[in-house]
Amino acid sequence: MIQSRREFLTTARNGLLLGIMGESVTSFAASVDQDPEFSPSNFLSISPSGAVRVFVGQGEMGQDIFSGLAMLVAEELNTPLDEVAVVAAPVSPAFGNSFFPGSPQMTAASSSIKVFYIPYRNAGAAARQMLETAVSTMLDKSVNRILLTNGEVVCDDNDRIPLKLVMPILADLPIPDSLKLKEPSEFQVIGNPQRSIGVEKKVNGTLGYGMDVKVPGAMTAVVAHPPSFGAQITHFDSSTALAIPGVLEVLRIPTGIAVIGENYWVADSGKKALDIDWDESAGQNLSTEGILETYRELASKPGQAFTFNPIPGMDYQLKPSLGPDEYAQHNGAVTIESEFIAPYLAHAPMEPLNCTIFEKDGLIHVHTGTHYQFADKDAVVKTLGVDSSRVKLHTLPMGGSFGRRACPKSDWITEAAQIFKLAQTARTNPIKLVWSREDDITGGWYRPLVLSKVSAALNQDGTIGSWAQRIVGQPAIDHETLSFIGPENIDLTTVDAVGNLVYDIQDKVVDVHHTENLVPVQWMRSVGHSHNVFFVETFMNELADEAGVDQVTFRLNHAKDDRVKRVLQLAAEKGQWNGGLSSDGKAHGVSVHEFYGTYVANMAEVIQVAENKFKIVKIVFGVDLGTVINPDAVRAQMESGAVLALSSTLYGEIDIDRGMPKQSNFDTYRPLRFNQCPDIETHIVSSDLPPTGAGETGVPSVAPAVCNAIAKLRGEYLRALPIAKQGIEIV
Amino acid sequence: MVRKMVINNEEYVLDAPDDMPLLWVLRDILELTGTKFGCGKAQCGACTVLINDSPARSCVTPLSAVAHQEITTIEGLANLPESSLQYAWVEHNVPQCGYCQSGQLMSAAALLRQHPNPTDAEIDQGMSGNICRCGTYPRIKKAIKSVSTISSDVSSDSV
Repeated sequence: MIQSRREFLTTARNGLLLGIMGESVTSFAASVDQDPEFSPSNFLSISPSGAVRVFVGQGEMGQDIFSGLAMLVAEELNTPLDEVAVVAAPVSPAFGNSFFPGSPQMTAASSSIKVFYIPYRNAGAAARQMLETAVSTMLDKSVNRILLTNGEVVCDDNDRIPLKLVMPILADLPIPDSLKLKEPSEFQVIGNPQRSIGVEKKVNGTLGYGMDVKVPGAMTAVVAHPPSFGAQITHFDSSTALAIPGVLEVLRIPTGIAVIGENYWVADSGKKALDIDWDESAGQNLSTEGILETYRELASKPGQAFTFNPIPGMDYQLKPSLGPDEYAQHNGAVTIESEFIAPYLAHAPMEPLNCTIFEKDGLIHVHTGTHYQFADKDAVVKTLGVDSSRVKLHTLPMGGSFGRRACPKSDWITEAAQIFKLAQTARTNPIKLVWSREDDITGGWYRPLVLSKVSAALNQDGTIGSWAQRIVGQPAIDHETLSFIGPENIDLTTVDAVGNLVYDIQDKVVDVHHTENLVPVQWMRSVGHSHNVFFVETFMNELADEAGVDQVTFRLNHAKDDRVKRVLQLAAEKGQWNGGLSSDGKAHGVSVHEFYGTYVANMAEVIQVAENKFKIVKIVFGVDLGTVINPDAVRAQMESGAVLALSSTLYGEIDIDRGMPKQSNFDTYRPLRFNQCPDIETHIVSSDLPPTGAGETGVPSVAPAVCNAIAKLRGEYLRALPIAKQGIEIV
Repeated sequence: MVRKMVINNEEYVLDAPDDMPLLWVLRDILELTGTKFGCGKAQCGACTVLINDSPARSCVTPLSAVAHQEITTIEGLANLPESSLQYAWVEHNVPQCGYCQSGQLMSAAALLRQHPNPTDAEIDQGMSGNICRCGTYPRIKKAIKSVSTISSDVSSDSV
């Protein structure tokens, strides 16, 4: 007898199984086959008709992880990739991400491929080996190679057996104790560029994002949020709003005043008609200027020293050091010091945040685009005070995130749960919470504002003798939610790319001042690297120039390993590095960094068009990610990182005055536009090392490379972002 | 008020106020959700549709302004000659998150109607009103160029 998947899983006895699916799946791409399925793993099921479904717990936000993991299964299973569908998995420990302490279901730190490379290949290999055993039994001969296609098992390129006939035998087979994975030389899928699975739905408008959830009777909720951080409601009048036809309910919730209407436009009209008195005293003294003043003062005092190595894979460990001043005294070196600033940044994904929530048959359904399902489900459970088994979170494709849709406090999902809990309308109708762009850009959860003071002792032979870096800012990680904190009470991501410099400098001191204020912050794509690589790599140029050494050579002289050197040489070679400035006015800037095992170098070419007016001609990446699964996805992510980083480099800033962000929409929070986009080249190092991630790795190197090139033309270093604020225009 | 509208060559009868933006009529009343909400003030282009032959930001276009106009949304693009853009988008694997792509494609369709073989400057001008935060601009440019090259090949063949 063929068992259902659940029975199969509960009776399976192999360590391959990580857990039992407690919930049915939400279909993303495939139609659900009702017949009993063959499922040798939580990651994979095959229907009798041959429909192969790969279950993915990681969130899809455009980084193409769905295709990446499907490729791993297709490779080992021997099935054409275009016959594989990917389905968003339920929230379950079976889909936990072991990169993080406690293995929460979450997509971050470009860890998905690194963590799931072997497990998804194992799933495909188990299925293939069981199919081989089953057809060998049926044919009464040894079958060495199978291909699963069109619902048939093709045996040794010869016999074709309908999968339907194989299923009864499969059901009685044990999951193999040992799995034989392919050698890299046997790869047919891995390493070849593949088009994104489901791309067709993105060009005909049919892909269903959270914003597009269609549930009968759903009413739209919008929220009037505080105009400044910390503002409290003292009084509100909802009568004008309620007089608008289609406005159903106005209610106070912890985060503001919610207005529920028959559609977004009506609800938003109701929100605009609200009369709310706010007490804004809490944020009156909160301004970017004031924060920077405090940070500068802190930067003049020693902070909490950073010396530890708390998480495997994050190789941060500092030795006792003298520091640049003392080192210089002993060694006759000169010291240099600079101060750097990176502002608050809003992620501003194209799809504004939203969440649909309703109760049906005793279950509370939550539909949203997220990549931190573990925390989000928990937030709903706690907000509603219900048993976890009653909450069903459906992970939807995201219209961008850049980290925003993995909020440590699940802010927008918690808000939807509050409305669901408090609104009368929610007793009869599903609620769809929709944020405006203004809610998004003024609503906080920004990349932290960071100030850093860096100093170094430069030996007379042009080598760096000692490096000291002080970093001042709010921790990007909420440690109540994700224990990412070390014994010295420092948020690891704050020292990203500094604790583990890509340069071999024996004498190194890193310390941190963690600050607090009313502005809620969280990680943004590439996290601490997003500011620290700008600081480090700009300072490296200052040191190279002081030493009178070519900026590429200076980096090569200090590189900690061959992988750093290789990507730097690759970018310099492909970008035709000219030493910094050629006689025909082409300025070049370089940078290099490592992001959790992925090595990236960058060479930017910039020309001057008029005074303080520049054109970025090209961005050339050299990248080493070990084994590459999908080269086209890598290229896409580098292009993506470059464009996001260019937006931040040129314009990105949330500037706060009297507790209020000055930016509110894309007119004031400007992104890079089509006409400003440079050519972007990606050159990938060929490697058989284990794969690392791509998604965030394109971001960090861009600001320093571009700013270093502009510095050549302007004659002064750019030490603060964004550069438009310093009168620089990019055409 | 109750009115008739023709969208993608299909007739719809609906009841909505004059000042309701076309975007929300499409999305919340007609359930044509391919057209996206991104900013609400004509800054990002995610809501771009064709009104007759011109691109329009549906988030700031009141219903009263489109009476008796021919409206095409992403759902109708496949029936236009410019559907070649959709194939080119797939061929060049353009989308990442994909959310802005309906608007990008409708702007590109309008561009090709005006300039069947656009220059780089014309592509820049036609596409600079559409934001992509994922950074698909270089691939969009390649995809548009591939379509315009095909069309010019076809026209030169037929001469």
